[in-house]
Amino acid sequence: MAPTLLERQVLRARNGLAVLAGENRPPVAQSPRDLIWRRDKARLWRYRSEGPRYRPPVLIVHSLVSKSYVLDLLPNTSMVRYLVGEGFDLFLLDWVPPDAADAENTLETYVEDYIPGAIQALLRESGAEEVSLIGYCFGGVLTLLLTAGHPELPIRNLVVMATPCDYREMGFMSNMFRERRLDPGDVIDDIGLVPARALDEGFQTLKPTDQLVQSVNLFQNLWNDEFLEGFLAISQWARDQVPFPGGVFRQTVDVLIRRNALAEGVIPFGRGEVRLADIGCPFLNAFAEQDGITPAASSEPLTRLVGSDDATELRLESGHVGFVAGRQAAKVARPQIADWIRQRSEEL
Amino acid sequence: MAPLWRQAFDALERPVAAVSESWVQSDVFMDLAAAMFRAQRRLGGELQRATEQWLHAWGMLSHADLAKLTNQIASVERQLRELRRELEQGSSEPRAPASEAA
Repeated sequence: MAPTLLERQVLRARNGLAVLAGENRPPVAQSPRDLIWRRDKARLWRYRSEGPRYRPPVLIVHSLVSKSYVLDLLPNTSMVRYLVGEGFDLFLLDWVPPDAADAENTLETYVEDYIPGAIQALLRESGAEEVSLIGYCFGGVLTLLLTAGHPELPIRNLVVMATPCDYREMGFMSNMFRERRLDPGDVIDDIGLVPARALDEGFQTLKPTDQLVQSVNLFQNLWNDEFLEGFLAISQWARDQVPFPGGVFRQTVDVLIRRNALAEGVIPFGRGEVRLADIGCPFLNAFAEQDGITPAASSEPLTRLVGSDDATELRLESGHVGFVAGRQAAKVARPQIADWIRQRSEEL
Repeated sequence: MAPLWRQAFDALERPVAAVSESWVQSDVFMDLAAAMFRAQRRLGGELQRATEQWLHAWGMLSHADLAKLTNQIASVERQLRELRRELEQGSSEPRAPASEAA
């Protein structure tokens, strides 16, 4: 039964005081997991399950611009928990926030070193011969470069979620770094990183009234414990930005933004180049229509740029985190992504 | 249905949001924001240099000195990583640093 008006005010006061005191921080990233490999700031986790029902294992490669707990936000909205429950042997490759030692990391550091290292460790640990990859946001860019540049790696399937491709469509965050505006050196700090604060301010600028709207949403639903838990978890994640390695940032601006190389399909990389047309494995391009960070128009071209005969597009009516949290994630994104991988896996 | 106060807020906020969101995506705003960002950074740099000279005059460490130390330690850590990688690969030939390989 819904609480009366008076009861709501009492609950609102109680929860409001708890929020102000910082007492009701939701417990995030609760799914049990084991660290099975690490190199520098890269960590490979394996989620515990009652025994996988499908092969090959699934490896999620997380973005470099946010923390990976968004994939395991709360028990009832956890993408990780869902995939494990669906019978996948799930691994996650994420990154400890970089410091000065990582400032010179480049895309090659991740694509030529950390991710292949993690895949080797995964194959050793699981005894599998292949792996299905999921790249989230900028992690999708890394998995695209990996799959295109390393045909020898045993990648069975590739899924990218909210992954940018056409940087002309990326709006403010990308357009600020066009020629004659800002150069990478303008935002890289004394220790060679793009500070987390700079990224946070950039995201805040995209929607100038968003903070006010979020505060009003919070006040309106403050009496509702379930809403409050989800709201606090997602708000905490959205403001919990991480610094970005300066070396990767310089490449992002030069190659991905100014030359728009991903949309061209040919990306200067290492001592040569990689071609998206060389991606021949089954490919799923999932993006969201209301994504303000990676607009749908930016992700959309990927489906036709890869060389796979089995390239599928999944459009969601949600925002950037609609893959991993919220109603769209529960009803559409997670089941469809799981189904797509399942159809291209073997039952054990 | 949303309460009246919320409906009133939305009626005010939506047009303001639409205008402000399209304004931040305009060339005029981005040119202005870039110019202001650069000016702010230049001023900050000047202020930092002045503070640094003052602190050095009193024999104290400045932010730039700490950053230099941090970068030196980071450089040693990167060399250790390279060595560890070479050991792991069992290779005796030194590898080019990642930044050069790029």
